[in-house]
Amino acid sequence: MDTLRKYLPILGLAAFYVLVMALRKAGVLTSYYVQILMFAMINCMVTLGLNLINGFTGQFSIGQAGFVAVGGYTSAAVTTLLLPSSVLVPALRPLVFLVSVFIGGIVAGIFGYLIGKPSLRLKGDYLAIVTLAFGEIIRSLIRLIPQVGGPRGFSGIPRYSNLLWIVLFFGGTIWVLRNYIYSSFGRACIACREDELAAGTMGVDTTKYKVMAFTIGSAIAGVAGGLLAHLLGYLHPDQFNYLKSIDFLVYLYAGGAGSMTGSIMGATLLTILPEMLRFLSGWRLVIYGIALVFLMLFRPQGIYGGKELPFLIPKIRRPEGYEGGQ
Amino acid sequence: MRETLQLLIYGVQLGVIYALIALGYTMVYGIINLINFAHGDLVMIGAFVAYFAAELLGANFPLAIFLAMLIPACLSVAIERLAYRPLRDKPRLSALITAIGVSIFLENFPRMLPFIGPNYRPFPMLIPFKNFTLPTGAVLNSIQIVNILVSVALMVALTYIVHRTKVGRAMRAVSFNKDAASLMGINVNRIIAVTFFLGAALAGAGGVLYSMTYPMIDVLMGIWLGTKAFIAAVLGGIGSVPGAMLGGLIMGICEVVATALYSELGYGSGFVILILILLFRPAGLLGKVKIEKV
Amino acid sequence: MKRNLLLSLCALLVVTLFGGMAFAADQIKIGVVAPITGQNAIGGQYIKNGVELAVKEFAPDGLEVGGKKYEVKVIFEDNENKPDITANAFRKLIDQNEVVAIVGPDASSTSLAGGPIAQTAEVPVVTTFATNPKVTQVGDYIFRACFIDPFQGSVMAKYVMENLKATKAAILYNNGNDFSKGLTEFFKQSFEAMGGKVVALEAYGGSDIRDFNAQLNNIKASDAEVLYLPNAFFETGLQMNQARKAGITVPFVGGDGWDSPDLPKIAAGAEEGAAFTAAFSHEAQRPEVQAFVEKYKENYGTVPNSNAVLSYEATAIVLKGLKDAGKVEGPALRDAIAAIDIDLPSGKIKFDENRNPQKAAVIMQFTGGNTTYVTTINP
Repeated sequence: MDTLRKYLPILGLAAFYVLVMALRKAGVLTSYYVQILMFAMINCMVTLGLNLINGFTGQFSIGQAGFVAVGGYTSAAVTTLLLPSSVLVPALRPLVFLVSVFIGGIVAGIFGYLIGKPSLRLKGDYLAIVTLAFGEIIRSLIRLIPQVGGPRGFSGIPRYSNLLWIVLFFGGTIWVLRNYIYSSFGRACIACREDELAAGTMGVDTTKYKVMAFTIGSAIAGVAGGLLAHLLGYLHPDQFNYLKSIDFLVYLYAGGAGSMTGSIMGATLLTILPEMLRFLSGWRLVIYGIALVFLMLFRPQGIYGGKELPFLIPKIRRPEGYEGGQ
Repeated sequence: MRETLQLLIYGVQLGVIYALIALGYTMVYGIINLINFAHGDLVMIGAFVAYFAAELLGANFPLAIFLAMLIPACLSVAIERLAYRPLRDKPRLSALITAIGVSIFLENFPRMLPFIGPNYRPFPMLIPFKNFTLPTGAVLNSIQIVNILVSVALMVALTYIVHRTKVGRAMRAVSFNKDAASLMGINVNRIIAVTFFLGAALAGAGGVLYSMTYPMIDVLMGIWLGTKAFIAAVLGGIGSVPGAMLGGLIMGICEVVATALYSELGYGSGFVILILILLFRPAGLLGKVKIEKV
Repeated sequence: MKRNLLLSLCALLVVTLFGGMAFAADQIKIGVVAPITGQNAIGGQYIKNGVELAVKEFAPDGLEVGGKKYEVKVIFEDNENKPDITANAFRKLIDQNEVVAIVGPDASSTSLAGGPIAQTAEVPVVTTFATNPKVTQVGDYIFRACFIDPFQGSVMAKYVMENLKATKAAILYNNGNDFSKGLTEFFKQSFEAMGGKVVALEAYGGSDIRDFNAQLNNIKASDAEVLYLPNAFFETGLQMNQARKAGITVPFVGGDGWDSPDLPKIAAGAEEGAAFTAAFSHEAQRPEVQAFVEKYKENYGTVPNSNAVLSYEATAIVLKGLKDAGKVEGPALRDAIAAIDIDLPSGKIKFDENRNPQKAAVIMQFTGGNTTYVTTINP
């Protein structure tokens, strides 16, 4: 039973992948739906990363799109400028792609560290402002780099991403975050969220854990950016303006902060919703705005706030004879 | 000398508008800790109200700006009542998401109305345009003078309300401690509504002045302007009324000067200044660092 | 609560899966991708008009292809002027609606995001206003109805040199916009190759910027004899307005982003005498032009701008292509479009080997709040 529980997420994702592919082959799902699913999963990853920062550690970052941009542009630069697919034997391409996505994640993580280190010493919404500013500065800097297309956008990126890759990275993100959140690191993060002063008194180095969470969250955004770049085959700096960051915030809080299930639900639902509302044409965003207000009025904690589907909580091993509560 | 003074004039003219709008952000944040994302869109509503007042009713400048302050102010009170108040005791960030929802609605709903639509509209000249050449050679025009005078008058009025009237004292009390204020017999709901009213009235005025200076309006004009003003509020110390005024001025001047020096990156300069200031004065220029007691 | 939620989720999924699967046999579906919401929503309106007019004219009661009568159905999809939403719109049109061709989008950035999808699916695309040369390099299914940046930039440089006799130019451009940046580069290149000099090059960061005083102050201080404003009409209107207020007296010139009846309203007189390159002039005396302008006015009450003309022409190209192909399928349509030869308002259209149309540019000028035709420059 325990073993099953441990591998349930992996099995679930594998089953999901097989199901989608089967429906795709059977012609029920067209590549339109598959593409929306892929976008949804990428958005889920970014939201999950943001959830670690905002939901679990109690900080307030609103510039996540900047890190997606850093990751996306970095990994696209690797596969397009450094090692273009034309110089590679086909067998090497997936490897280069994998490496490039990780490099994108690492670079975004480094940026996260550099930004988090000075601004997370402070309390309050300062991180919010600094991340917002960072996102805009990154965007205006990218425009000035002609090698990645500047304002014309970065075109000709090989389209390596596919459902399998994205499912793998998505699963990997869930796995990493689940293990992180339910480790002593994660508990330290939650302690910071609940009461920073008390956490500090208990010997938790709050700045360290906040910076760590921020770095990991940014790195995940970077990885998602790498996947996005190779899915679209094109990047434009304006794709990552602060309105995009706001989208991720909305996914997070509509889904429910502090819950991985919530992030996944919020991002998935709200990625699909605007597509479903296409028939409304211009009224689409009007309805979306109203829907958001009503969702929060009736479920202020978000769809799944504070709760978690059971398979996302690892079984906690208790020492022999342990009788205390959770 | 001519150059410097000229740039300063441009900077101040832009800065006073940022300041007017920043005041609304800072007052709302000071009182309920909410970043009111819909504030920028009230600027847009103000501009449209003045536009229709002038085009349809033939309103002159004082009437147009009065209506442009009144209508967004009432709208803002309604928004607070419907979308923010029910969430006041709920997690702080759920109100933020409704604010985003309201903002998306305000940007997209007028666009679907046949008499507004997505068009860019020319904003009417509410006051005659005239250039005045200063002895140093710099040029000052009538719109800039009106901008600066009206903004300063509104800011003085606001400062008077906040510091010299009963309502103002109640506002300060609520922002200091909501529960204690309520125990002292202050109607907290009413005071919060007044805060939203005043903030939106200033935003509406800012919208009119902005549209007179840059005579074109559209439904999305509030997004970027609102963001800039919000940054100005943070720069000055969010929650602080004089801070918002100072922050707005600094933003305006820095942006103009940085653009004149290197236009490729000029528009990002506000953000850079913000980061620099926050690194050295984390609470903003005039913000107070709150001491946490256990 | 939890159960309800899961249930509604499932319901949503089912709706998504089976919605939009209805399909009719003798329909030709043409997709149009344009910004209906967002920053460029106003452009989307003109595009919609242009497309509808073209269908009305070239397929008034259906289109006969290969001896069979088809009903023509146009499906509009919003792309919010964003690359990722464009990718979704393309996928939806191709997979759900099974369109035979796509008209639009109207910007290079969105066309570059949608292009690869259509290319792999072998669905021909005729973009309306994507002027970046890279757009059609995506593949042999991507065409465009407009001319490309280098041509327009050099036409204006030549006009400034020869007609305005100016050798020193200042440029104010949007460095966040590919169209503006492209025109700037190519104008500068040709202008300097002809012996001119760009004495002030000033940028601003995006369409939402309204304050150009700092840049204009620098331009005023330079000894420029002409100011090139290769920007969108609404930005340009404000720039002209502010430039005149700041005391800049040199003539303005620009590109086809200017072509809108709203520009003179925003510039409020400052545009008098300003000249720009465009694909089409509603004043040109050619009968095709006059007929088109008449029809457009009759239907929509305004004079058409470049957006309307280009989407009209793009749709006309697709419809004529279908007729020539004699088959309703991508590859045949592609070949037919590549070999097309059609008379349209902006002239005879033929595609070169890079799928760019060989079309002439006109120089237009603002006089008394209207545009007037100055001259035509052939490639």
